[in-house]
Amino acid sequence: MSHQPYERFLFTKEALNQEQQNKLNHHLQECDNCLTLAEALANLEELFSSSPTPQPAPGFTQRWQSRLLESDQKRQNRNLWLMTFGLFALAGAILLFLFFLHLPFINMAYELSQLIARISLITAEVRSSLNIIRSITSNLPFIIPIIILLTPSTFLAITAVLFAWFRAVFKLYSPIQERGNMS
Amino acid sequence: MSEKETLWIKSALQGDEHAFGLLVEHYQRPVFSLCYRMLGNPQDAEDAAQESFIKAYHHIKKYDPNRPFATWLLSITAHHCIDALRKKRLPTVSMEALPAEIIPDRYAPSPEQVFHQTEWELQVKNLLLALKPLDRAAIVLRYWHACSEVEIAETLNLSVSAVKSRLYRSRQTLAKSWLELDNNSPLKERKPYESPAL
Repeated sequence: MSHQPYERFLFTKEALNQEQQNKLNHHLQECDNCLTLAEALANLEELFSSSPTPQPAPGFTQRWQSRLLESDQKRQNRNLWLMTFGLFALAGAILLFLFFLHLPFINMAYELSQLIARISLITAEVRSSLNIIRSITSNLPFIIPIIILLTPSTFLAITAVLFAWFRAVFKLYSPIQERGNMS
Repeated sequence: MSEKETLWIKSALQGDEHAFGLLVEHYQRPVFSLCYRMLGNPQDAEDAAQESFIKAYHHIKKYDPNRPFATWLLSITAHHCIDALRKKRLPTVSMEALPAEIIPDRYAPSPEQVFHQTEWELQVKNLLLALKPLDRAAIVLRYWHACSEVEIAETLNLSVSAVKSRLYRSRQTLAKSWLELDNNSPLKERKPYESPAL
């Protein structure tokens, strides 16, 4: 005996016409297997309808709000990481692209960077030299008066000492008569 | 859909978190119920329901106001539960994080009723476990949410004929599981030892 059409009548739960209903009833009177299944289905549906609808614990909305806050923070952090990673990836991709496809440009760019480095080094050296000069010149106002005062007086003193020495030497080697006549 | 609900949805579509909170308050029961029937325990159901509402909040712009909000929301929930069941990696919730147990009042069911209810719940859970996730979702929507086949099709992104076929197969599986459970029931086994005088 084929149970297929009767099982379909039972389990599709579609409205049956009078002829189909009569056929099903007749089959259920004869077939214990299908009758057991029909009873099982009826019990099952009764169990489902008597089973209460479960409810969440009180404060569900408050818990949802705090969870939403946490979720938003996590999303922000994730987006930040993704953006950072994306930028690095983009920069890497551009560098690779330039490296493989525009090598002369890379060389030119390398030379240009070398030139810039040299210019900046020279500028730094010039600047440091200027700083040294500036630091010296900034102290000059204190040194100049001292030099101005010391140099002529030293010169005069040396000249006077030399003049006195030459005169003393001249007197020593001059003849005695002359010295007697003179006296 | 009531006027209030329509207003909440409009405000939520404009990014009003408070309005969405009201929708959460309104729909928490059907969403939790679907999660509970799909996953089988209150902790996982709570987690899945919360996550479903968060997903709905973040994707509210995709909601078409011409469709029923409940169908859209239950669709997100059902797919979230199906994914959770497939991954079998449901996050655990510590017992301390759960709300405190509510002390039953005088209208609470008697211990006998509680026992029977627990038995039924266990039976329902075991029966539903026999089904595949998508079939389980179809059965839960049909019996606990009184959804029509068209609504189930919309919720689960299936054709109506596919829903009919799944419901047919699921009922068949459930009936056979029922018979197996009935035969293995400890209550049934105890009957021969019961005192005939009583």
